[in-house]
Amino acid sequence: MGRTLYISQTSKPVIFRDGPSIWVQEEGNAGRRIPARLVGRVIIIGNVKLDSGTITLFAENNTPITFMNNRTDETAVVIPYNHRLPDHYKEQKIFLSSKENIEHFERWAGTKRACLQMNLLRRFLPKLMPRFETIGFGEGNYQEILKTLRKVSEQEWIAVNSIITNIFRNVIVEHLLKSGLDPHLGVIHRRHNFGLALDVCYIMGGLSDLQTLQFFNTYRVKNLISKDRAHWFVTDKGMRSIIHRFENRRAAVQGRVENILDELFDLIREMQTHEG
Amino acid sequence: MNRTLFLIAYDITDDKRLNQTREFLKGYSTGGQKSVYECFLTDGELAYVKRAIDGIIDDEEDRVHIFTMDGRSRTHTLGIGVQPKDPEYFYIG
Repeated sequence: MGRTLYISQTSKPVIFRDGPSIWVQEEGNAGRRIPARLVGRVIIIGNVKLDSGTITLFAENNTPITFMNNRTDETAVVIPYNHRLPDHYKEQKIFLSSKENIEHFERWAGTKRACLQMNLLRRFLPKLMPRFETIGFGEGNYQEILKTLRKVSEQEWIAVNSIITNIFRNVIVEHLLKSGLDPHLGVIHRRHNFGLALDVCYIMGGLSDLQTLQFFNTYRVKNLISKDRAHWFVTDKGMRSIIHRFENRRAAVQGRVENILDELFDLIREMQTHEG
Repeated sequence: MNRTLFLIAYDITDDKRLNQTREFLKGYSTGGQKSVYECFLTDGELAYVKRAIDGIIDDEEDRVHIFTMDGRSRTHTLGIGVQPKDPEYFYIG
């Protein structure tokens, strides 16, 4: 299980490939070497100088790279090119083969998403949960409750939540590539680039919301987000806080992604049996 | 996964073997100097590194030292040198 490499523009690092590793130069510090072998995913924040060899090195190692800025209005994901279809592409197409299968997938994804949302509510509103469990609970209820829990403006919430979601997405894409699934063949987000990754990310919405809420619990005193003219953006300190929180829970997040992918394969087998 | 810090230093007489050794060690090193590499390795990786270097060097002419560092010790650095680290994640910035 590789580690995450975060590169932020703050110290103006210059990065280039040096054989099977990358060499990082920062002002006032000795150069650092990071072997690509140890890295499982890369997240580049802001305007960083790096050579194209760095990108091809990670592509050769099947490591996805996410580019974003601290307002997350520009996001790109680089994944290795493969001229063959992913190993499970044909099996995966069964999700879209009939209306029943699409509905089945959507129901499964909705249920998984609701479970994670309920975990969040159980943590923040333990007294209300038994009531929800009795009378039922939907996406609309969740969004309304979230609005009251978050206590910040929509723009502030989006600025932080998008960064956390991008980090989640990077982990999801890494796992999809390793499992031989096509990250573009989604059901809820069909005909979108990274459709399946977005589907899994949709399921994990409760987890990214939880980390965003935890971020906002302490942000005011610590100056973790700021506003320039019209946009809210996350400060360097805020970015470190997000990354630190995510890394502390990375094993659990990865476990959750693995669990979702296992269930995806179960779903494929179930649909194959049903159709066959 | 527990990793131990090793210092790997080499003295290789032939340019081709020197380049091969350097290229190979760059894949395992997280710091060091021109012919001294700091490598955090597991037992399995150490065995592989030893085997691979043994396959590159000439036993009659070259020498390679692998020093095991005590995990409790602290490295004294001068100038722009940094402490050897094996972090849970890499953050540059």
